[in-house]
Amino acid sequence: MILFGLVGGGGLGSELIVHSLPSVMAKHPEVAPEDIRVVYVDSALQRKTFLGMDVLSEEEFLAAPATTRYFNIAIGNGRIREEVAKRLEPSGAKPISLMHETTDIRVGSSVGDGAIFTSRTTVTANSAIGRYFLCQGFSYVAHDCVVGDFVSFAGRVCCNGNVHIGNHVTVGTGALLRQGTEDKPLQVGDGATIGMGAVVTKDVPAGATVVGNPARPLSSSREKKA
Amino acid sequence: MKTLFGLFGTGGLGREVMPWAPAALQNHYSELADGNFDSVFLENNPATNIVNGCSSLSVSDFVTHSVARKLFHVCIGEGIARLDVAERLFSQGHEPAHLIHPTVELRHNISLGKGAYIGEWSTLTTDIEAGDYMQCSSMVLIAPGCRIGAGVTLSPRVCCGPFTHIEDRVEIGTSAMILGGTKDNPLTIGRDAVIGMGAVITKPVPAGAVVVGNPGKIIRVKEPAST
Repeated sequence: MILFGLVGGGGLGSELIVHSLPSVMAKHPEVAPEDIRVVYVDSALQRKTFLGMDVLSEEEFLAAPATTRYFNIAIGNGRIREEVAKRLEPSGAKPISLMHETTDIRVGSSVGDGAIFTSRTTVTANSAIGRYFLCQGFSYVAHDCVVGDFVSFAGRVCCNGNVHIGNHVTVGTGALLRQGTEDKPLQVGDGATIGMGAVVTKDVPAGATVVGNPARPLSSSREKKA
Repeated sequence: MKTLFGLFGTGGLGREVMPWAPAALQNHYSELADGNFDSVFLENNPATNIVNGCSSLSVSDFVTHSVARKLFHVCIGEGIARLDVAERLFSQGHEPAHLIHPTVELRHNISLGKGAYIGEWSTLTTDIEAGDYMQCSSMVLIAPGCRIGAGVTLSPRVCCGPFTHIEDRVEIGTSAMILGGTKDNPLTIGRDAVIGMGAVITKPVPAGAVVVGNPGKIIRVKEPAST
């Protein structure tokens, strides 16, 4: 029995459960679907089942009988995904990426462990994506980009070519990142947050929050209003 | 092998496109459906012979290649440079090929010029006329009654409202939106204009204007191009 645990029974978790069985089956074509058990892992969810799946605590998930134990983390916040991964990986559970059938990862690109790609997402040519990347519907990463670990894209993010994104960056729905060049890629620093609909035309410093068109740091746009 | 397909440009778009280009050709050209053709990158001065596992030829080697039929497509984002390379290859007797991703939806009464590029998930609705070497990227929506000039570049997720007339060599940035006009009063984007990413265009744009923001504002007007 292969056990797959989807950590997080919230909105994202309910969207992703349909990706789970196909993703495990793609990795294990030799295993019959009835020998794969898919469960939710969420201690806060005060119920025994969710969307027809059993709900287990992390301890129950790690103790349940399984020949191979896989997981992924349906949580939008990259820092929380990192905490969960740091708990589960040393316990022998392995991350497995969830990819929708329409996702297109093209030649020369690489994606780290534990990624989530929902429908119509694309990584084009020669981009390197870190661990536990969350890439939601219609978002793309174009050519020659570098994306760090535990990065989260909401839906419809357009990350154009030659953009370098640090770790723990969050990008809101429909945000646009301007194309950089090989010599001078557009840089988004560690822990930065890009607001929904923002049009990012310049480098974003580590830890900054930028919003608007063109994107500006949130603090300075507040000062302007004051 | 009786046909050679050359994809000019390895700068970015060319590398994005090559993985699906052979399937697009097989899909679009019935005589290529058997897959009996080779695909190569073309560059003016190739630094290596192989790019992402695919051969890269110099343009001069392509021009002098002895194969019976040579198709080409030019992947350069900038319209003037794209037209320049494409018209040179065409004048040397090579055949411009459309690259239309298999997920593209083309409805009715669409006329494409030479060598059109249309990326994944784009939709061209009805009564649309496109000029030579239009580059229409992924997830673009073109409403009915639009006219698109030669060498126009539409970035991903651009939306052109109904009866938008886009003149030659206009460049429209990622996710820009154009309100459109009416049959009697189309909204015109003048020749060589540049629309910034995320801009929202509700009024006609004069030739050579650079427009950004929501609502779109002219930030400068380019010198008229010589050609």
